[in-house]
Amino acid sequence: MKTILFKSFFITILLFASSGFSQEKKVEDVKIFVENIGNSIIRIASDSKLSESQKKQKIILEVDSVVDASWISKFVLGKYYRDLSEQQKNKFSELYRQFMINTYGPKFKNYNGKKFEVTRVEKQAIFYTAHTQFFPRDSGNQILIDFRVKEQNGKLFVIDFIAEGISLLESQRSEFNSAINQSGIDQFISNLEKRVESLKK
Amino acid sequence: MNFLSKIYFLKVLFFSVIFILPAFSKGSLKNDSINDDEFLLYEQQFSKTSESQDYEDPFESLNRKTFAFNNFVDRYFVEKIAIGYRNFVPNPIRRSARNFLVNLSMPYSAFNSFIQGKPDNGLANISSFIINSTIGIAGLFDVAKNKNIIYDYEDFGQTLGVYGIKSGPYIVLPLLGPSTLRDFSGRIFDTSIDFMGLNYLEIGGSRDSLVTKDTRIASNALFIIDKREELLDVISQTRNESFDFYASMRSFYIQNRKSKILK
Repeated sequence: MKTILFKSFFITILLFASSGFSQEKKVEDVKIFVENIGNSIIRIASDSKLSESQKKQKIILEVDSVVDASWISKFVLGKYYRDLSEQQKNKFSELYRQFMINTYGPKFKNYNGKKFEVTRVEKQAIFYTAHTQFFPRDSGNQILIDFRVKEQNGKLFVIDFIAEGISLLESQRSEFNSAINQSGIDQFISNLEKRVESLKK
Repeated sequence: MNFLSKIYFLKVLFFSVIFILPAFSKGSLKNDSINDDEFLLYEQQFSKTSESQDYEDPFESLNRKTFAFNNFVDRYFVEKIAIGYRNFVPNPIRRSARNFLVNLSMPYSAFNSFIQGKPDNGLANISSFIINSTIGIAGLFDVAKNKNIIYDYEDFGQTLGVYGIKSGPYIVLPLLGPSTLRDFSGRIFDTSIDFMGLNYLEIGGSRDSLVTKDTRIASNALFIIDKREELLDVISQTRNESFDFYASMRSFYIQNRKSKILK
């Protein structure tokens, strides 16, 4: 009887411990994941052998590989997403991915010569927020950016960037919803298509 | 005893289920279909401007007209002055001018910090003010920052927010730009109370003002130009990239204010 009780107690303790350990490991995984993104962007931006256009392309590829544009595209469309046909959903999702990486990716190419640090990672529900700072090696102001991360298909992906308390995800949802409200979803998708074309040139 | 041990096993089973379930739920994320609950969860955790949150724009039609007017004035006058300021005034001078203006606002920020129950920030404001006003030569050099004195600027609109006053409707003020009813009220208070004697409205204590009216006007003009120069890139990018410039600026304003209040 004592053996059974001891085993049961042992299993309970083990389950508690493994749960805590798994959470800590995940937080550490998120920290490493975001550190790799920041350092990779700085490495590309600081590479003197690359032309401006090569830097832009490499950073776009980097952003594309770590951002879950599909998740974001659904979130930013909000209530309008449900009304789309499957074909429209797929079209919008791909257009949004192109829009996102081509609009925001190139902005990181100005991050040359900076240092990057993940100051802390918080877990909130199924999301993680990594608080980071880019700061110049000499002087000047540091840039504080929070990366919001979530797990998808067993992989970590960035789903939002927050600077000065302003979330990219929320800003875009507000902007897109307002634009759709003004001109309708078809016109909006058409405008997005034109924008993507001009960004790619 | 046998019965008790069964109960204990059931307890173990219960805890096992509790702790193993999250692993299964992570497994469900592997499904490509995206769960609406995730969006809801995201909103509950982080959202500051979603429809379910306390942000309202009942005067949108009027606000858009005022915004268009402000945008016109900005594009053809204020922005051009700010570009000229950036191009013709050397960076060290611009930085010193900004330091000087920020330093002037420190006592007022300290006052707001203390009444918001943020004594650490209030003390940081005061320390920064004393150091920069003396060693930093009247605030021209931000010596406090080099000593790692980090602070936030707090105004009366934020103080009202900390005390639970709702933002009220979003409003766009002619020439002054985005605000809310609460922030506009705070702004009136901010302008009327001034510990440095730079009181532009001359409400209360104007006789004790340390500087002349012309200097006050000049400092306000410099403040506007400096602020606009600081935002040149952000506003220009947003104007060019946004599908609805008005909605983007509204979202930026509301999110930024909320994050400052929640800090």
